[in-house]
Amino acid sequence: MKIKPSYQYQLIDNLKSIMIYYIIIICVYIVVLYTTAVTTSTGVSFNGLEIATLIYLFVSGLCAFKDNFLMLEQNSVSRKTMFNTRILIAFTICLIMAVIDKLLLTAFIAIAVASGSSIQVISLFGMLYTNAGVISTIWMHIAGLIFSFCFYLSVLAVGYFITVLFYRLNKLGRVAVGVGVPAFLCIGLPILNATVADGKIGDAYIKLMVFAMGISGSGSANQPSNAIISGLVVFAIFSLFGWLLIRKAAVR
Amino acid sequence: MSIEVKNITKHYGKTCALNNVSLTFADNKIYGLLGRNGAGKSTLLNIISNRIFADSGTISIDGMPALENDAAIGRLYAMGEKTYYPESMRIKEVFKWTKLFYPQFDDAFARSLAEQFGLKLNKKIKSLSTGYLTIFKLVVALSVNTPYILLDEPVLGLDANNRDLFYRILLEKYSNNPFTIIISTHLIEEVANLIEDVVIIKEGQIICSEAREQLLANSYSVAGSAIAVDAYTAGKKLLGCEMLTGLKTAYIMGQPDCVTAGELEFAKIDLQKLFIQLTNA
Repeated sequence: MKIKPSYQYQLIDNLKSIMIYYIIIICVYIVVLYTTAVTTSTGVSFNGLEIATLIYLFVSGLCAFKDNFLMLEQNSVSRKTMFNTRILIAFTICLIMAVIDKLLLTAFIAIAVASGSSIQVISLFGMLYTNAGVISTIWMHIAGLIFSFCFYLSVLAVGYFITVLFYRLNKLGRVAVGVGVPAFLCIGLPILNATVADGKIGDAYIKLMVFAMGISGSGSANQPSNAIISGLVVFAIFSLFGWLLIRKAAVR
Repeated sequence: MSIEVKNITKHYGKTCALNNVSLTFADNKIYGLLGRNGAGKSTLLNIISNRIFADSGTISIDGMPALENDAAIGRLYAMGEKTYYPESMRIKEVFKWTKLFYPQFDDAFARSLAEQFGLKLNKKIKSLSTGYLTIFKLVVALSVNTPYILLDEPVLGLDANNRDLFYRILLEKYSNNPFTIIISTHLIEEVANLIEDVVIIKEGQIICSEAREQLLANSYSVAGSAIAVDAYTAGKKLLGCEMLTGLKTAYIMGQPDCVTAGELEFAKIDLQKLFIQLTNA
């Protein structure tokens, strides 16, 4: 089995870009902190680090397939091993990034408090599931960590699935999916919703999102467990579709 | 110990690239996989190395099914025409990673080969010329030490000196520690003395798979006036004919029949000539 070298190769490949990403995040925070101190602004907040990480992971998923696939094929690694390794890598980098995000947010809050800055640091989890982003209990930290981890997994799997799908499609298929799907979602679906469905599609979508995210209205009544399960379900579904595409992917 | 190809068929749309191909690559032999452009050589090598899938048929390596089997495909290294390493990777990094994927990779040997070919280890793959890209892939292929090495167009873009160096190194390595090498090339004259067995593919089918010596011993050419040559070749297995300034040359499979020779001139056929006649027929 070539799981170990495949895992090592992909992990090191990912760690380099993760490091660069966090250097940028830290620099942005320092700039915000410095600007707030110099201008003595009030009401400045540093929110949703997890959103930035989600975007990073989505893009990382989009870039993760072709080069790795060809490199591993060149080194006689079967597609089955590639996929198993990919799952392990997804778990590893999502866990690493969830932990780093948690530590950074905690550090950012501590720095803001220690420096007497008026800057408010609030996590995505804090915004959605508690009334304020201030550290409360250990349980909230653990729940926040699991929430980030599962959410990251889902986004990474979606990005990876899209890139494998585009790899498998021919030129015509790529154009059809690349243009057709966004056009349908951004133009076709709203028109359908407004004309034929009389707003029912929009209502159903909102209900689904509210349920999937466990958001009921007030922060304290929201349920992170729904979002955690939703993240895992999305990860499982898109990983399964990804596998169905990878298992017959040919080297080009 | 062998690579067994059984009833492999592969289509690209309506084009049949391989049609029910069956053959065996035995261990510790140098094979020449020959065929015209589009004959199916690269397709066959890509199917053996799991890079593409056959429509039907099976491949086994040392008795193990090759399809999606790390243990089986790990016994071979395939050098293709294209480069599958990340373009931004440095050559020394490729060596490092190859060592992880192929623990038997000989790093010191790879470095010595790189030096002999003048390949700089700090260079990134994307900065290499066509010739040096080939050299880089050859250095890795010759250093992985797997029982089977598949080389698809191994001298693409190489100058005569580097081609000569490659053939010498290959033979030296093979003599010291035999392994199976399958060379797919169009430069038949250059590999004619290197290969032990010849596999010729024509339009997706194997038309010849036998030892080079045997193949050459079982073919000859006869030259003379057209009337005499036509009379001689009647009833014989004729591969093809050539006319040059009134002199006719016929290429024939079998043993020369010198009793009826008369004014005719007999000669052996070299591998390239035989290949041309076999694939033109």
